[in-house]
Amino acid sequence: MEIVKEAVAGTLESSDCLVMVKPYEGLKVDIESIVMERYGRRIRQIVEDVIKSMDITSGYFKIQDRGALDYCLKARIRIAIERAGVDNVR
Amino acid sequence: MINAAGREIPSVINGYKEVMPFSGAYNNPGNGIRTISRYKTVWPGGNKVLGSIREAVEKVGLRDGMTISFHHHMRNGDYVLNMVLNEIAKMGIKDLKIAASSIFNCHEPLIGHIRNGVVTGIEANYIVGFVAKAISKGILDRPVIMRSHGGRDRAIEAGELHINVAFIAAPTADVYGNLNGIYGPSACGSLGYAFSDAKYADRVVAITDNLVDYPLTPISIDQTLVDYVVKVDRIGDPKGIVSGSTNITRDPLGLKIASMAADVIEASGFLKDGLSFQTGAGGTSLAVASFLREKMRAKRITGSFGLGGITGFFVDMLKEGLLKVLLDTQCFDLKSVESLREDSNHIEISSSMYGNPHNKGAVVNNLDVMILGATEIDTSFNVNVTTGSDGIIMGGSGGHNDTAAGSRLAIVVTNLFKGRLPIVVDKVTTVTTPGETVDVLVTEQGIAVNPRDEDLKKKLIDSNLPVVDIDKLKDMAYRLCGTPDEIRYKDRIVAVEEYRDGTVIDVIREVV
Repeated sequence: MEIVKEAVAGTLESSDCLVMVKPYEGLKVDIESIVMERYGRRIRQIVEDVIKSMDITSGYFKIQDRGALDYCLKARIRIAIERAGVDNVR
Repeated sequence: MINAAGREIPSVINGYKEVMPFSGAYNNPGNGIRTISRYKTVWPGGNKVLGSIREAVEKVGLRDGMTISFHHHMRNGDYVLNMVLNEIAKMGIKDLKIAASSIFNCHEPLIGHIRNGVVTGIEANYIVGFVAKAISKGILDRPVIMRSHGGRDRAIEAGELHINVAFIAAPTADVYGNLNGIYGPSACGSLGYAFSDAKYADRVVAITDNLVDYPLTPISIDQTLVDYVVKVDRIGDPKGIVSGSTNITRDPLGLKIASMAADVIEASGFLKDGLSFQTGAGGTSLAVASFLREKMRAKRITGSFGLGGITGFFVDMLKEGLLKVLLDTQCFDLKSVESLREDSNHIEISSSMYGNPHNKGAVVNNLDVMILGATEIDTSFNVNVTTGSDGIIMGGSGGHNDTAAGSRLAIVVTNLFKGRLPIVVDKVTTVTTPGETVDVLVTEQGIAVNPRDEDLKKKLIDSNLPVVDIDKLKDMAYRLCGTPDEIRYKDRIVAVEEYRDGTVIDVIREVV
């Protein structure tokens, strides 16, 4: 997958997150979370895992987390990537 | 050393008195003499009304190093603390200790007074907002002392908290220093937290925006305790003093929890004539009261008293005859202010009478059921309402550990997790209320009973309530949210959490 345009997924509601993705030279992830102190590490791990699983090698990712559970974070990141990217295999 | 709540407490805490570790909720009966207070004669013809706060500060002889006190009935609308401190700062007085029953966001200017050395110490029962955050980041050299409402009165009466000058925000005062909270543009209702300050401070200054002719009626705090009266434009912003209305939650989870909690009360056998209870003003707590009201109506039960922190909801129950009496330390809304003014069965009480463990029996001892909130509760039933999940101060006991200890049935109501933060945890960030005083935890995923209470557990199971082990609830929360990382702290202690009896139940450290 390659990030070719800017896209967002999610909301800033409590227990959700807003994910913004856009083209970037290299890979950059910014995370802002209301639970940074207790779950920041875990959230970063999830973001990196999803990016890796979708074969993304470059792009800028901004995660604004309002206390989303793991499944929600994963889904929002995937959707944002799919909206922002083209599948370079096909 | 490890105290009876399982917390590591240093044997010496710099800037704090001799450490007495918490040894159990009912182990320290107190011992000593109730503190003395100073004589002061006002001869016939004497005048108590002064022209300005500055004049009052001069007349009471406030000096560097003294302790001044405030009460929090003006809540987030309070002008008095800032007004007094601004004047004191201008006069060049330094190194003061602030003994406020609570500190809110509106008291942000305190931070400036700490930075410039006017304020060097704080003792309070509840601290929220900017000041709380600054304390957690280490703004003060001396640790803050956090107490319960009853614990503050105990400390004052025991002489541990000696107040040199009490500044009392008085919604109405007469020219000879009689005060009440029920009239005037800044009416707040009960003045319950200010009674001990008025009784035991060396000097008492009433600050009012409604000065009336002598004698005021009714009298809450009387002329024999008040040195001076100062008239100012406004003592508070009514919008911050009382919320327009306090509402029952509409959140379906909150309602489910509340309904289960009401079932617990019924199954425990407390739903009978003479029932007494207190709930907080939070949406879920009020919803418990609402479900309980339905049950009382259906079974034609008359309760004896409601305690609080009074809201309009309790006033309705009084009017309907479901409760005979309201005992009131503070009014949360306008309806309760009006009721305190007009209904002789709605009675103002001091916070010492409410929760002091070392007087001759506080009202919490007469309480059947207490509905409590929790920021965190651990598998030993210890509750934290003092610090957030980031380790930063965001509250305090208030009446939490007083009512848990006194009541016959202390029920904690909370969601299993909020956002992605588990509320049921391995170990709470700070112990405010020891687990031995908490009977039941009600969450949307089940009800956990303190293992020391086998009898109660059996009653709930016999009533087909979904009783589960508290460890199971914790596991469920961790499975959904993930295990949280440890909070990183520095070594320095920024606050001491005193249990209501004056022992140290926990310490709060500076956050990174």
